[in-house]
Amino acid sequence: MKTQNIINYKNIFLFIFSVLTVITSCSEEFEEINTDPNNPKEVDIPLVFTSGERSILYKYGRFTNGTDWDLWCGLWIQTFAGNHGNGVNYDLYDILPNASLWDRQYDALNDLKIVISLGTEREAWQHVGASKIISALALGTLTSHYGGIPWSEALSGSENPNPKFDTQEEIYNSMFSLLSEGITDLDKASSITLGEEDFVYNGDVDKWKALAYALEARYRNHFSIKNPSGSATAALTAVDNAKSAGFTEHAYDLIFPYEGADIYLNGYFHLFENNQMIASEVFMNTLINTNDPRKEAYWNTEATDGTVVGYTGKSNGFGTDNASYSPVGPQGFYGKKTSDQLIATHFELLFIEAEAALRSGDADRAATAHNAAIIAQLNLVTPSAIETLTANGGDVSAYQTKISAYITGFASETAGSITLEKIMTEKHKAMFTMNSESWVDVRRHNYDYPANLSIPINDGKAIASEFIQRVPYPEESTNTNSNTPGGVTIFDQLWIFKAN
Amino acid sequence: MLFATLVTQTSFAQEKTITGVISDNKGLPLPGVNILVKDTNKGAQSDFDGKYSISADTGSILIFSYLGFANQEVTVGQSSQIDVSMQEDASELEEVVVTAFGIAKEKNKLGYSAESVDVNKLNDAAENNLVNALNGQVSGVNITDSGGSPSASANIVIRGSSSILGNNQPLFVIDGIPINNNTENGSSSGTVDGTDFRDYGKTVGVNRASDINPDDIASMTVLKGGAATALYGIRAVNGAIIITTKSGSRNQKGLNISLSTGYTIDEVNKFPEFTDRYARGRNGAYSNLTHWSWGPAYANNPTFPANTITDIDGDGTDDDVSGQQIPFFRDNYKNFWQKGTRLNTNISVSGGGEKGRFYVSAGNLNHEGIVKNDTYERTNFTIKGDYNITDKFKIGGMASYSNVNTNSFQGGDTGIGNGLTYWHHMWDINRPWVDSNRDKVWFSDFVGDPNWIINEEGERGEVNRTIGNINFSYDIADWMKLNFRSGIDTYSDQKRLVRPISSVNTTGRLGDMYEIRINNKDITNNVNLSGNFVLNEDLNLSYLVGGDIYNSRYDRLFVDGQELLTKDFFDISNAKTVTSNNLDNNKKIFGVFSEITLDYKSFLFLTLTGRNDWSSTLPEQNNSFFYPSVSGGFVFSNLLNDNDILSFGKLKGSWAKLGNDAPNFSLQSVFARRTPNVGGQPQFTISNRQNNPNIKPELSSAWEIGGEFKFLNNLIGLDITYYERNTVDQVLPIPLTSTTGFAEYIDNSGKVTNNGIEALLNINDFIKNSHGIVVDFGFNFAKNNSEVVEVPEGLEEIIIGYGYWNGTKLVARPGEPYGTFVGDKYKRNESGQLLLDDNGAPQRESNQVLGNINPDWTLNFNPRVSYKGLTLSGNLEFRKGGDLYNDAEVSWIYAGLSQTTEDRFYDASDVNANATRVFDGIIESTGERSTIAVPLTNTYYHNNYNATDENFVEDTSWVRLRTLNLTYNLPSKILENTFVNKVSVTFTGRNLWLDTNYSGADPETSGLGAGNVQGFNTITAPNTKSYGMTVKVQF
Repeated sequence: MKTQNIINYKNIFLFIFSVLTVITSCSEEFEEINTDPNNPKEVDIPLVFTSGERSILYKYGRFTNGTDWDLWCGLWIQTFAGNHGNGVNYDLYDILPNASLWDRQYDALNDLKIVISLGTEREAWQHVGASKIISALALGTLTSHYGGIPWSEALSGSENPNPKFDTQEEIYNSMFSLLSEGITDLDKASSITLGEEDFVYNGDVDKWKALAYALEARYRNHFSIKNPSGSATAALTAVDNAKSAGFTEHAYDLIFPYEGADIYLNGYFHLFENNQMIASEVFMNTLINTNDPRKEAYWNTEATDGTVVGYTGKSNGFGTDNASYSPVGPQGFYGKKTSDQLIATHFELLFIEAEAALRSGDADRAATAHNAAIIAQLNLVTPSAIETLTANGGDVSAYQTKISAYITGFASETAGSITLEKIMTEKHKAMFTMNSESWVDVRRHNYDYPANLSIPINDGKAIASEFIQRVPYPEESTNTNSNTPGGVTIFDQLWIFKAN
Repeated sequence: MLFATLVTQTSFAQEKTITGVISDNKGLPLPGVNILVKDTNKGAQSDFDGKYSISADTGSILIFSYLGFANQEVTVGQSSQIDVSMQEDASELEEVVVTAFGIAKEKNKLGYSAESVDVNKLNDAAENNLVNALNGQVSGVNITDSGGSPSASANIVIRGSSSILGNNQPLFVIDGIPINNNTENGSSSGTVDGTDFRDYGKTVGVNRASDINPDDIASMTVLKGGAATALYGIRAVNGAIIITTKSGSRNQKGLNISLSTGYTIDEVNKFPEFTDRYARGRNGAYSNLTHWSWGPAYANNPTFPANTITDIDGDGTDDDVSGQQIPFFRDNYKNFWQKGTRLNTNISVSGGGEKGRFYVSAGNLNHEGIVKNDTYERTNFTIKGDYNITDKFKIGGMASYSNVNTNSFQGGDTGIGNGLTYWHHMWDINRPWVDSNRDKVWFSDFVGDPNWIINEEGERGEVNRTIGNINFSYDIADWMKLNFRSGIDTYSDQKRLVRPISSVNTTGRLGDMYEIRINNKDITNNVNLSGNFVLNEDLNLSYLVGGDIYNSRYDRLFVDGQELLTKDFFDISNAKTVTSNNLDNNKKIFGVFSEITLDYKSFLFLTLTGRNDWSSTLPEQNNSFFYPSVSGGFVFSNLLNDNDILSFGKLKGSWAKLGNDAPNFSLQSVFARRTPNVGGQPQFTISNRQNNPNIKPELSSAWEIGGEFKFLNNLIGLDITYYERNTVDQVLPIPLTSTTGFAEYIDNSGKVTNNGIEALLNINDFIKNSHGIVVDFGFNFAKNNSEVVEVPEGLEEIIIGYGYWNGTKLVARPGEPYGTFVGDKYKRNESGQLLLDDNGAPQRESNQVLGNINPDWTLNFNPRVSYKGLTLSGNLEFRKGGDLYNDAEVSWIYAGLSQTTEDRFYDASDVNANATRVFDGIIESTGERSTIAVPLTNTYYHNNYNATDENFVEDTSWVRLRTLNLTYNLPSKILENTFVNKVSVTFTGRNLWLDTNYSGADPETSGLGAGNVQGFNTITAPNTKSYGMTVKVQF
C-alpha cells in the first residue's frame, strides 16, 4: 500500500514536471518559428531599385499573350495589323479589360515608393531621383492609355483599399513635380551612389538628368491642343535643357537592354514567333511608295513558318486567314532576340522640337530639327539592314544610295516646305515599336497624320464609326475598387486631347 | 476493449473466491475478459492465461463479457471453480470504434457520428491510393479521384468544404500519430491554384496518404468533425480518419503467415465523342500551318493543295504531297491509351506469446497505367510489436517504411493534353516522334507531341517515407493509466523533370529541367492520463487528460535550369541558367486537453471535452484558443421492455467549437527575390501580399443530432444524423486592387455554412435461409447543403480558381454553395427565350451563376451475398447533381474534333459542310421570332459557342458500379491436414459500369488534382475500369 502511494505521487509529479518544461520551452520558440526564413523583412535600397526599374521598363514592347497595351496599340497606329488570336481581336476593337500593364506598373511603383521613402530617410538622393523619374514615366504611359488613374491615394495597401482616381490633369501635375524633384535630387550629395544596379544607365547621373528633361519635353508637348503656344514654349525650354544635358546621342537613350535569354528576350522577337500581329498593309505600302530604306531595317521577307513573303502587309481588320505576311524579326534592328527596346530617344526629342517650333512659328528651327531627327534615326537603324545585306551578299551600295536618296527627298526640308503633316508622318515612321507614345501623337492630331489611317474594315463593313481613343479600366479595378469610373467606352476621348 | 473497473470491497458472509479459466471456442485462453458480479459493482478481468479470480456469494450471478463474444451468465454454485468457454459473436464486433488518440469506445456510448470502414473492402478495391479505396464506404465523405493515372491524387472532403481558401481535407492518423497527406506538384512554389492557365500544365503528384499499404490496416474509423475531433484540435477541424494497423495477437500457437498476390488490368471506362469527318485545316481549306481540324470534309475526297510540303509519315524528312489524297486515321484519341497492368504482392507474419505480440509485413505494388511509361511502384515494410514488461507496464513501437517511385506526365497545355487536343485525322497516333537521329519530327513549335512527352519527358519522383512511433503505458493505479506516445512522420520527396532540347513549350525550344528536393518532418509527442471511476452503482466516470506537442518542418528546394547545352545529358550542370528558390515552413502547436465521460446505468451518457491550443502561426498576444465540446447519448430502448420490434434505440446529440490557425508567416510583410537577374543584376521586390499582425484564428461551431435503431431482432439497423456547421473569421487573403500596390491582404472575414443528413441502413441476413445463403444489404445516404453566407465587405465573391480555357471561375459567392461556377450564359429574356442578335446568333451575358460542384445527394448500395465458401459483394453508387466544367470539350471544339462540331458550315455549296441552324429565340432588336439560318462556321464555334460557358457546365449525376468482388474461400475440409489455414481467390472488378449523361470522359476527375479547385475536366488520363484476380493464402 505504502509503495503504491509513493509511486502514485512520484508519477504525477514527473508528469506535471515534464509538461511544464515542455510548455516553457515552447513559448520562447514560437516567434522565431513564425519568422519567414524564405523572405527578408528588409532589403538594401539598390536591390529594390533594380526591381522597380526593371518592372516598369520591361512593359514596353511586351507580348505577354495579349495583356500589355504598349505592344498592342501598334494595331491602332496601324504599323501592325492583326494576324490571329488576340491580334485579330484588338484589331477589330474587341478590347478586353485586361490588367497586366496596370498591375505590374503599380507593383513596380510600390517598389519605387519604398526606394524613395527609404532613400529620403537615408539620403540616397541618386536613387531617389532616378526612382522619381521612372515613376513619372510610368504615370505618363498609364495615363496615356487610361486617362484618370489612382495616384495620390494609391500604394497604401489595406489602409486605403479604394483609392480615388486622380484626374488626368492632376496626374500630369504630379508627373511634372516628380520630374523636377528628380532633377533636383540628383544634384544633391548622396550617401550611396547609383551603380550597376541601374542596368540601363549604369549609375550615370548625367544621363538621368538628361532623360528627365527629355521626358518633360515630351509631356509638355502633349498639351498641344489644350495650350498650343504655352506648351510649345515649355517644350522647347525642356528640349534645350535636355540637349545641353547631353540627350543628343544613342548612349543617352532610355532603352531596355535584352540579353536574349530566358525571359529577357525582346518582345518583338516573341511577336515574330507567335505571329499574332504582322506588318500593316498601309504602313508597308507607305514604306514601299516612298522608297524608304527602313523597310529593310524594320521588316523581314520570311514569315515565321519559313514561307518567303517579300514585303507584304496585311490590311487592318481583315481577320484570320491562311496567307503569310512580313514579320518584324528575327533579324533587323527591332526584332532580334537581343534587340534593345527603345523607350525614349534622342530623335524623338528632335521631332518634339520640330513640332513645338512649328507651333510657335519658328519654321526654320522646325525644319532643321525635322531633318536632324530623320537622319539620327536612319543612322541608328539602317546599319542592321546593311549587316543583313552584307551577310546575304546583297547590294550594299545600292542600299546606301537609297538612304541618301531618302534623305534628299524627305530629310531636306526648309522653313518654306516644312508642314505639320510632314513632321508627324515622319515621326510616325521613326517611332516604330514605341507604340504608346506614337498613339498619343496620332490621337493628338485626331488620327489625321499619317493621312492613310482609316477605320479598319472587316468583311466589307467598318468595324466602328470612330477611332479608338482609350482602353477600358481593368476588370480587377472595376471589381475591387468602388471608385473606378463606370460607363467608360473605348471611344471616350481623353482630357489631354480635348480642346477644353 | 472495455475499461477495467477494479474496485474491491469488504464482502458479506458466504462470500468466497471464485477462480477459473476463460477460453474461446477453440480452447485458447482469453485474456481481458470482463467478469462482473451481477447487481453489484464487483468486477475482475482475466489475465494472460485466461485465469481470473473474483469474490462472490453463492447464488449470485457472474456475467462474463468480452468484445466479439456473446455474454455468458453463470450462477455461482457449490464449486469455487468456474471455467467458461466463450462463443464468438461477430455482430458485437462492429460496435467498437476507435476514436481520438486510439481509444476504442463502444459505439453505443458515443454521442457523435463515427463510422467504421470494413478493411476487407479496402483491399478488394484494388486501388493504389488509400483515399480512393474509401470511396462509397462512408456516408458524408466526398472523394474525387483526379484521373486515371496510377499516381493520380484523390481529394477528400467530409461534410462539405468550410474553409474558403484554406485546407478542407481531414486529418489522417495512424496508430495515434497524425501523418501528412500533402499533395505536391512541380511548380516553383509547390502550389497550383488555377489562377493561371499554366497551372494546368504542371505535374501534380499523388497525395501522401497513398504511401500507406492498405494491407497493413486492421481498422479504420471516420470521425466527421465536431465533437468527434475536438480532442485533436486544430488539425482535425475537417474531420479525421483514424487508422489502426495490424498488431498480431497474443497467445497464438505458432506464427500467422499471410501471403497475397493480385493482378489487375485497367482500361479507359468512357470516351468522349469525336467527329471524324473533317481533315486538318482552317475555314474549310487544308493548311500546313494550323493545328486545327477545320479543314475539308473527308467525304469530298480532299487532296493536298499544290506545293504542300510536310512530313507526312514522321520520319523526319519532309515530303511533297501535292495532289495526294489526305490520309485518314480514326480513333486516334482512343488508340493513345493502352491497357494498364497492376501487380500487388503482400506478405505478413505475425504472432505473439503471453506477454507480447508482433507484426511484420512487406508489400510491393507495381502499376503501369493507361499511358505508356506512366508508372507507380510502391514498396512497403512494416514492423510493429508490443510487450508487457510487467503487468502494469507495457511498451510498444511501430515503424513503417515506404518507397514510392513514379514517372508522371504533365497535363494541360504543356503536357499530353495539348497534343491530344489537336491531333488531326491525317496522322496515325502511333507515328514516330523522333527520327533516326533522335531529333523531334513534330511540326509545331507551340503545341507538344504527346508521344514525345511520354517517351522523352516525364517527371521522375522518388519518395522515401518512414512513419513510426514508440509508446508506453503504465498502470499507476486501478483508476489511472499513464500513456505516452511519440511519433514521427518523415519523408523525402525528390523529383526531376527533364524536357530535352527541342521540347516544345521550353523557352526557345532549348529544353529545361527542374530538380525538387523536399524534406518533411512531422513529430508528435502525446502524454496523457486516463482512467475510470465507479462513482456509485449507477454512475461511472471515465476521464482523459493530457497534452501534446506537434512540430512540423517542411523544406522544399526548387532548382530550375533553363536552356540545356548538350543532348542526352540530364544533370543540372547541363543547364545554361540555373535559378533556385527555397521554401521553409516551420510550425509548432502545443495543446492541452481533457475529456470526461459520465455513464449512467449504461443507457445515459454525457461526454465533455475541452482543448486549448497555442499555435506559432498566430500573433503572440492572440495565439491561444480554447474549444469545448459536449455530446450525449440516451439509449431509450433500455427503458422499454424487451421486444422484438425495437431491440436497440438511441438518441444522440453533440455540439462542438473548433478552431483553425492561420497559415504560416501571415504576420509580417516581406520582400521576395525575383529571378532571373536582369542585366546580371539581382532584384528584390516587395511581396504583393500584405500581411496582418493582428490576425485571429478561424472559428467554427458544429452540432449534430441523430438516432440509432435496431429493429426486428437486429434484422434492420438504422443510423440517421442531421448536422450543421458554421465557420467564421476565415483567414482569407482579401483581394486589393493593384493600385494599392498590393494584390491582397490577410484578414479574418467570411462565413460558410454546411448542413445535411446522413443515414445508414443495414439489412442483415434477411433471407434467413437455412441452406446457408446469407444476404446483407447496406445503404448509406448523404445530403449536404453548402452555402457561402458572407465574404469580405465590398467583394462580390472570392475566387477559388479558374478553368483552363475561358476564364470561367470557381467561386465562393454569398448566397450560393461553395464551389460555384460563374461565367457567361446565353442572353435570355424573362420567359427564358434566347435573345438573338440581328444575324440570328445567340448573345451572351457575363457574370452569371452556372452551377456548382456539389452533388445534391449520394446513395451507396452495398450488397453482400454469401453461400458456403462463395461471397459476392459490391458497391453501387447513385449520385444526383454536381456539375463539372467540360474544359476538354472546349479544347476539342476549338480544334474542330469534337462531335459537337460535326454540323458545320464552310460554304453553301459544300454538301458535306453547309450546316446552318435557326436558333429558337427572338431577335432582340425586333422582338420577332428568328427565322434566320445561322451558318455554323469555324468562327461561330470559336467565338460564339465556345465563349458561352454555360454550354460546358454539365451535370454529372451517375449510377456507378464502383466495386464488384467475388470471393471463393477453399473449404476447410480440404485444408485440414495441410499447414495452410485458409486459401481464398477473389475476382475483382472496379468501376465496371457507369451510366451518366455527362458527355465527356468519366466525370470523376479533376484537372488540378487534390485541393480546393475541383470541377474542371481538362485533358488528362481519363478514369479507368479494372478487373483482375487476387489469391490469398494464410498459414
